[in-house]
Amino acid sequence: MTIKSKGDSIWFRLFHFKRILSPHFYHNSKEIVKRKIKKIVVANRGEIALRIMRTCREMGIQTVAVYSDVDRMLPFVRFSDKAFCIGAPQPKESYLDAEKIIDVAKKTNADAIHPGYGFLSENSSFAKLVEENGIIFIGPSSKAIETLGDKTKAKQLLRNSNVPTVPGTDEPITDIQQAKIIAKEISFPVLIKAAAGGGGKGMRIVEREEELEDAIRLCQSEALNSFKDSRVFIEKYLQNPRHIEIQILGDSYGNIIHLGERECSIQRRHQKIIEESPSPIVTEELRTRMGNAAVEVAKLANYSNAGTVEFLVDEKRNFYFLEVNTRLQVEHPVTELVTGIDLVREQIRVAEGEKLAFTQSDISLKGSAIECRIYAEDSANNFFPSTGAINYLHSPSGVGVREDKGIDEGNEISIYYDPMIAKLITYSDSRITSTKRMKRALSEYIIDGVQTNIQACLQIISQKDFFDGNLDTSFITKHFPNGFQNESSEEEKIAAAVFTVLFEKNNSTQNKIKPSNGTNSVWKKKRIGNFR
Amino acid sequence: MMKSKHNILIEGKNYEVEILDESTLTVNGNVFKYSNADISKKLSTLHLNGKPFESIIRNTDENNYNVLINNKNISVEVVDELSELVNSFQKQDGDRKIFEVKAPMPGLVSRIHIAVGDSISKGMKLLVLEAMKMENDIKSVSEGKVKKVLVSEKLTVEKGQPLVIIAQS
Repeated sequence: MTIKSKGDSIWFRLFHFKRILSPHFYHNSKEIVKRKIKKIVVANRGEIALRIMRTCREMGIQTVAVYSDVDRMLPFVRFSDKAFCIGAPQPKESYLDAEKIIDVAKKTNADAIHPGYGFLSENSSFAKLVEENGIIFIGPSSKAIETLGDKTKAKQLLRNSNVPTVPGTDEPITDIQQAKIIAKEISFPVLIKAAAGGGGKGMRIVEREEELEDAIRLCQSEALNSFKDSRVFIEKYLQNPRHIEIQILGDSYGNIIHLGERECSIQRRHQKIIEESPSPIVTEELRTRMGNAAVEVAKLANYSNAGTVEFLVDEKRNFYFLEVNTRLQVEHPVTELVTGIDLVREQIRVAEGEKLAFTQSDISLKGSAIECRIYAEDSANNFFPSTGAINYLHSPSGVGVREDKGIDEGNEISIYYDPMIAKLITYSDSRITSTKRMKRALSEYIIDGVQTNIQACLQIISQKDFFDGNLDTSFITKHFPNGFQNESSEEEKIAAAVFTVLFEKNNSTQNKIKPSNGTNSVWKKKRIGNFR
Repeated sequence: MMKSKHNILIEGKNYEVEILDESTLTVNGNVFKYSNADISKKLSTLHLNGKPFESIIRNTDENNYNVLINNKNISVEVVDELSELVNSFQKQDGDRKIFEVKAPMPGLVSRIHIAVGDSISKGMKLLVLEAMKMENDIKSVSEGKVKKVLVSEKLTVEKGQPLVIIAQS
């Protein structure tokens, strides 16, 4: 072996020795090694890389940034203690290249890798590779990622549990008559879903029995063409459900708690844009039931570290398990604000082999937090990403405002990554105040160079249904059927006209001054001195 | 400060801005009190009847600007008198070409040799522009007829300001 793995180090052996002496390190005969983390490679970019590094610095932990060519100038690279360019901007050349990232970890003698969200964060083979190299993966075990990452496996895991799943079949449909019986049992409308599907492909909503047979055949051939796998399932179709998720946190000793819910129903193109905690419809009783269900899922999968169990909630407040995200979520700050817990800090602590610092009874949600994801996109034009250099950037601040931002003025929104500029989070003692605060904070932004969704966010939170907490995943299509209009008011147009006139006048005044340097030789030659 | 009128086109609507003095202007005839902090900075501030506006203006094309106000981008076109005149003459004269003679540099119009309706030949002296103690003959680049003289003697002009409009005969 050319590179010494952590497992061979003196420290490791010393810990091993200490462990034998101290019965404290045993738990259900499972070996748990405590290891202080002193250096972390952050295998991500943008705002989440910076957010992780901020906590690391507070904890006295050194950080190592890995970045692609185009990200050299980003704040997270400057913030790190050491930074390595690991390749071209295409994710597979850099942020998705497991070998390169592990190489940096070894080279820098890092104890751990934090994957952030996206990229390699939910890749069980990456987690495994990290583990095998004697490096701590800050997240659940590779086994837990593998089990929960596969929707079919996850559903099978829950078959004999108390966790409600969307009614439907576990096995692919082979017989149409059988399918009809099942569909009637779970009641129409039903959803025909390709086993290998994703991103809305190979999905069909069936309203009536007569349509079922055709829909199944169409879906099967679509699935075969798209995924080379014709297996389809049948599932109850939930009309306009809410998307509510539970934050979980577990340690290596089998302790798992939940940190309440996040309401994430405001979505566009199946992507969340506004999230909040607590949800306006979740009562203490429902929170306990959903929380217990989430904890049960985590326990079944031997889950440790931070994770999120996603549920769909129907109009009658029935909830159904959707999936588990085995990582830190984009919207984690709303939970941090209402619980007062730094999730990254807890992730690092439990990754070190520490026990959870809290029990379930220590957790309560205080106040209300709302997050808006600020994207560089053209909301008026089907949310098309807007790329380019940020020419000017002024961020909101003031009481109850948190901004997690990954870029500065002068940086570029490139075509290679998610066009998120920042996450703006407001917090107060009530949802009403947090909403008003969000309006105030959004209006403080000045971002020039790219189009942004700031106006769209303002329009969404100004809706009466938002105020009343009447949210579901169809909120945007329902309230903005013709998309968002970024119409300027008459007053703004008048101001624009005046600005332009003053700007032109100012420029022409400057132009007038320039020739006074007398550098224009052609004019000099024509000087007519004898005239005066 | 000299009085001046400017036509600004936003989404097809014309906004005539007239600066009356250092604190008064009109937009389409409505009077506004204004004051503006340093307009040359990246972020400019303007007070209209006491209400502050912040804006970032970028020149996107010769006569076109992008004005960002309240995170909304407003596309603005400056309609100068010349382009208005050219447009109106083009309507009258059909396919005949219209030429504009612009000031090559800022200066003082000291003499004008021509008048509206004059037939002119290529290279003919149209007027004299005095700048930095130099006299410069402004000549016609084409033969044609003088459609309009936009300046008068003893008038100060800015660089690029249209002086004479000539229609090719």
